[in-house]
Amino acid sequence: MKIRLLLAGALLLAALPGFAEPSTVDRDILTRPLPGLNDEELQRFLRGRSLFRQSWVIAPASDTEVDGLGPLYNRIACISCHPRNGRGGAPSGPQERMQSMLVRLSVPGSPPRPHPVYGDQLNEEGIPGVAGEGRAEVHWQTQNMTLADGHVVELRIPELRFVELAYGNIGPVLVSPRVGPHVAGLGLLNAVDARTLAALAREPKTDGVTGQVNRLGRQRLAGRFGLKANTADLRGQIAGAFHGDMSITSPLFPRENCTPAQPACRKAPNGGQPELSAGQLDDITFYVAHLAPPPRRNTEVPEVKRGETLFTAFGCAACHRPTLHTGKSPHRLLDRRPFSPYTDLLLHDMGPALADNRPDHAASGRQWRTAPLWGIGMLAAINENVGFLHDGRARTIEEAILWHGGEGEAARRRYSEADAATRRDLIEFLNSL
Amino acid sequence: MIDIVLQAWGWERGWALWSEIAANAVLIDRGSTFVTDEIVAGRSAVGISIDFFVNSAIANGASLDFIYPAHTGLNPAHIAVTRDSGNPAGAAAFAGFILSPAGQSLLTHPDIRRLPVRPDVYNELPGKQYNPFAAAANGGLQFDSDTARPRLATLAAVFQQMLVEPHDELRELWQRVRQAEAAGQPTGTIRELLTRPPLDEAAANSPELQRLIGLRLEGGREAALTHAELTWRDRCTQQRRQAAQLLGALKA
Repeated sequence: MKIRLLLAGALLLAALPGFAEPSTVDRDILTRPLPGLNDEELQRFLRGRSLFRQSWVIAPASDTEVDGLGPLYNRIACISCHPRNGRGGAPSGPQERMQSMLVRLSVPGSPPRPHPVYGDQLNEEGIPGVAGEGRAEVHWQTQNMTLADGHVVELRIPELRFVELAYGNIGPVLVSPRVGPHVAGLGLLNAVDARTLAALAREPKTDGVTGQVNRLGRQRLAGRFGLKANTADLRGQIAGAFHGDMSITSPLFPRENCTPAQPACRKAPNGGQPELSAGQLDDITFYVAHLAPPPRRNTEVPEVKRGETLFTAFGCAACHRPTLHTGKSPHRLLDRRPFSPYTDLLLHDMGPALADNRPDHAASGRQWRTAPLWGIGMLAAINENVGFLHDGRARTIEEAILWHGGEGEAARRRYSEADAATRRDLIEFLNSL
Repeated sequence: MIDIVLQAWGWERGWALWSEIAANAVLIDRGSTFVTDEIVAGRSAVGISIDFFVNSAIANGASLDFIYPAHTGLNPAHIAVTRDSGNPAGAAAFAGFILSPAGQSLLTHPDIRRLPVRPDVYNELPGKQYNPFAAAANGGLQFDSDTARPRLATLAAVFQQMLVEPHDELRELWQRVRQAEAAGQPTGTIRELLTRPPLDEAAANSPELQRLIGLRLEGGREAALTHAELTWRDRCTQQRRQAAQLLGALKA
């Protein structure tokens, strides 16, 4: 039955009531479309938005368009890990479940080989009749870092412990905990030409910074998405997340996310083959691709302007490139335009303290793709539990800076040697992104 | 939502109001825009929605206001511990927390904005928070859920056949009615035809009809129309045709 429930009345009342004061923080800033969508494109964007916010249900269900959750899964909706399209965070301690975070698993090999029993990601939840795989507890250790002026910053380091494992001992395994990133502006990153990335990698840089394109498969496709750039395009990244996080099959991942050691998972009913249709995958990809990048704020404030100069002077901009250009794109709003993501999409050695020691295609266990910094200043207002860096260990932008090592070591050192006012200026600039 | 109006205004007057509202409205499909988006963008001046959708949008920065009508209804959320729970003590502790003052206060988070079930929580809330206990004391929550629940799908099906399926035609007819009235022409019979529901209240309350319509869920499979719905559709079509003829005669 076709039900249209809600009405937007075009009633013109004689006197409208006084409007309430809106919140000062626009917590929906990461949910807006790029300006310029036509009506047809806007409808497609809205269909994708609906799918991104959809709580998927267990099959079989009366709502056949959105069933097929699990059998094994982490969360039930995209926005569970990307709240209001924003960034997730890590649990505050072992008693708390991972709400917007997951743990990648593999055994040695490249590309990463799935664990024979637990697969390539720990799925904490299962539908009725299929045991969730278990839990990864986060135990925090802390250490203090003293800056040149004596200021002490407490840093925390996660230690993972697997508990309640439902399919036996996990044994030797490579693990990499990951926090969900914000998703605005990803269509622009998707549209950066592979030749641009290769050229960025070749550019000479100072401070021992290099930069490497992750290369995927026999075709040696340039990686752009994922924290180690192990996925070439946005459609693949989205289909991979549906499959890995919710066990929703799609044309790109047609088989349920069950290992041979999980018979109940393999026998569970599915929500169609595939569960996410090609049309739905196209709609949600269009939606994410056309989310407007977070707008800059406070660009004329003196502290922000000084901080912007420091950002380059400290060496941050060598990897967190302020401006990139898209190449040719089938979507006119993404075609050949400059934008400001503050990333080069390249892999960099970030030192031993941040290493997950889990190689991924051409990325070593110490390499990470430069995190785009656009929107970073708004994330804490959107999610009060936000965590920075791949595993959410940094509670503040300052902590994130101080974790930089390897190719980021020189920039970190300059920050830690600067006086308090200078450090504040840099942070104010980052908050303006 | 449909029944709030029917119960507050009465069956005939309630459907008449819905007919006029629907004819002056944009209908929003699933997987489409949000009421709040339409108002913020200025494409519509007023929208009809459920409180927490709008209150959450406001708490997240949307420039909007939400007004509870004088007569409204509450749709309570439930919490339960399943019979076969593997951790009944933990589940009971969780339910206890949710119902505690601290748990109920979480409902005011900008992303939730639901109404707490504890009267004492309202005393601690800042600003002009709608208080359903005060509204009930003032007689604004006289909604009869026992009447509404069994006829929910029936009313939705009537709304569909009377107001949604012929929406474009209905809009045009109502525009002509208003033009005629602005020109001082009599429209009493035409209004009666456009606002009359295809069944009376006693029929809508009949258990046989409710069984026939069954349980219709949003997003469920498209069910074939029942004989009753086909009858309503034909009756409404006939009434609109007559109204159009009378409007045509006025114009002549």
